[in-house]
Amino acid sequence: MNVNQVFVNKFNQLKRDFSAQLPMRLKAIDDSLQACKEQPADEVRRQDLYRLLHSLGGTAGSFGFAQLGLDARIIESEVAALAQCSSWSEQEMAHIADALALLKQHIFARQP
Amino acid sequence: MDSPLPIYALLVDDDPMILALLAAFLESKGYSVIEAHDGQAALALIAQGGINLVITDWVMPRMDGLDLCRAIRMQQHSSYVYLIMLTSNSQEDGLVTAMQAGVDDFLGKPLKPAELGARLHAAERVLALEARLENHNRKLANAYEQLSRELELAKAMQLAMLPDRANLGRIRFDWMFEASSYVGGDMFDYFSIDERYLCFYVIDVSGHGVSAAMMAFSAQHLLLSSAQQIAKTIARQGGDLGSAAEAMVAGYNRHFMKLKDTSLYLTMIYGLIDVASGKVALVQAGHPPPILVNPCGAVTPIGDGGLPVGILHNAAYEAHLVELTPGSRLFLYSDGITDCSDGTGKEFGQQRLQEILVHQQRASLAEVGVNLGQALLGWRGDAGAFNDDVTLLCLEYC
Repeated sequence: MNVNQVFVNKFNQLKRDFSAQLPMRLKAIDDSLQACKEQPADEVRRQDLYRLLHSLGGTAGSFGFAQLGLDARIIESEVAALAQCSSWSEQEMAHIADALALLKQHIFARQP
Repeated sequence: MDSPLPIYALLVDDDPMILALLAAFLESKGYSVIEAHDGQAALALIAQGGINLVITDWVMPRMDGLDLCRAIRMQQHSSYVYLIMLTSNSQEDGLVTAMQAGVDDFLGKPLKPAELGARLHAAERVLALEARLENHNRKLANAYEQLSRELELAKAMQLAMLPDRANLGRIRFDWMFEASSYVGGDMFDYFSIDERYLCFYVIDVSGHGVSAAMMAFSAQHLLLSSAQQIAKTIARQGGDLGSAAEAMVAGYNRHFMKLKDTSLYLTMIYGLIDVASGKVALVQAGHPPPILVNPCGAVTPIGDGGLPVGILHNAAYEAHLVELTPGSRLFLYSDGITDCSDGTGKEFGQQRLQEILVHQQRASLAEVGVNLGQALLGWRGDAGAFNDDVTLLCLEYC
């Protein structure tokens, strides 16, 4: 087995691992959003949410989940745009929650 | 061809999946890989040394990629650390900031193996160049150290070869010599030819460094071993010191011209004294003129130039004759004194030298040397050490 084949095999294994971890990642994002709703003015919580979305966007695309990556990036951008506000309104929270729900729908619709 | 430079990569990302993907790719390229989950952990690993490639995510907890890169660039490392920042489209506006933080290259997320391979290839190229440069610098530093040691040795030898202060018959000899920061080509000496005659000289070989110093040593050896020849020449010239001095310098020039592959030349004052009568013959070969100070304080520069030794094959030299009376002083010096410049580049000059020699007429020869040395240092001021050898040879007829 050459080194390229070793890498391809490893990549495929990681891709399966990522797929298996996806529900856990989405739950972590849900939990983070919930934490933001409880403390809308807490900047650390909002940064955590941004980081989780940013990570999902970059990682999903890297393992071949291009659409998931793009969808996550869109939500990440919205969260980043709201970063300037001192606190998020209920309407803004609801908007992010809706976008997240749509993202999950897409994921589960595509999965076998 | 050189073997490939070993790459020790540190991967920094808070997402274990990205770390695993990067590690798999880099290991397939033969890199050694370690991982960290944030900037602070990465810094601790870098501090252990050996890392020459860092691939870091931008957005991370505790310390982000930007601060990590800034911290790495502020540290001293034994070799260059190449930094690649992982970015997403949303961070394009921050690329300039990242470059200012010391990032060498960027890698977009989502990761694409082909792009990653190309970026790593560029990193390898830069690191290999850096390693070669470092190797060259190390060799240069070693060579410089060795050269400095040799120059120091040559300088010590130069000092060891200088004559003792002495009275030879009715002539009192003293001198002041300050070596330049680099070894130079000044040399002087005096010795008895026989009971009646003395020889003395000051030479200044062009340039600095070991070659100039070796030429000065060689000249000293040649001149010192010529005592018998001088005596014969004086006898052949019927006791005419001037003709004898001219013949000796012309002979030395012929000898010098036989030396091959040298662009060196030297300037010289060569003198012969009849100790009993005080008669002196001086040959000036491109050297600054000797200064005669008689007991009543009159100052006379002697000579008008002459060709340096080592310029023309059949150069002829002209002797100048003076007669010393008791209390007369004769000063020979190198252009390290007259050309000694202050902080603005202004030279000390011959006039200033003459004034000091006259004002110091009641001082001993040793004191004249010390006082002139202090005056020159004062003239240099903040300019520091002398950039040429400084030589003053003093003769007093008792």
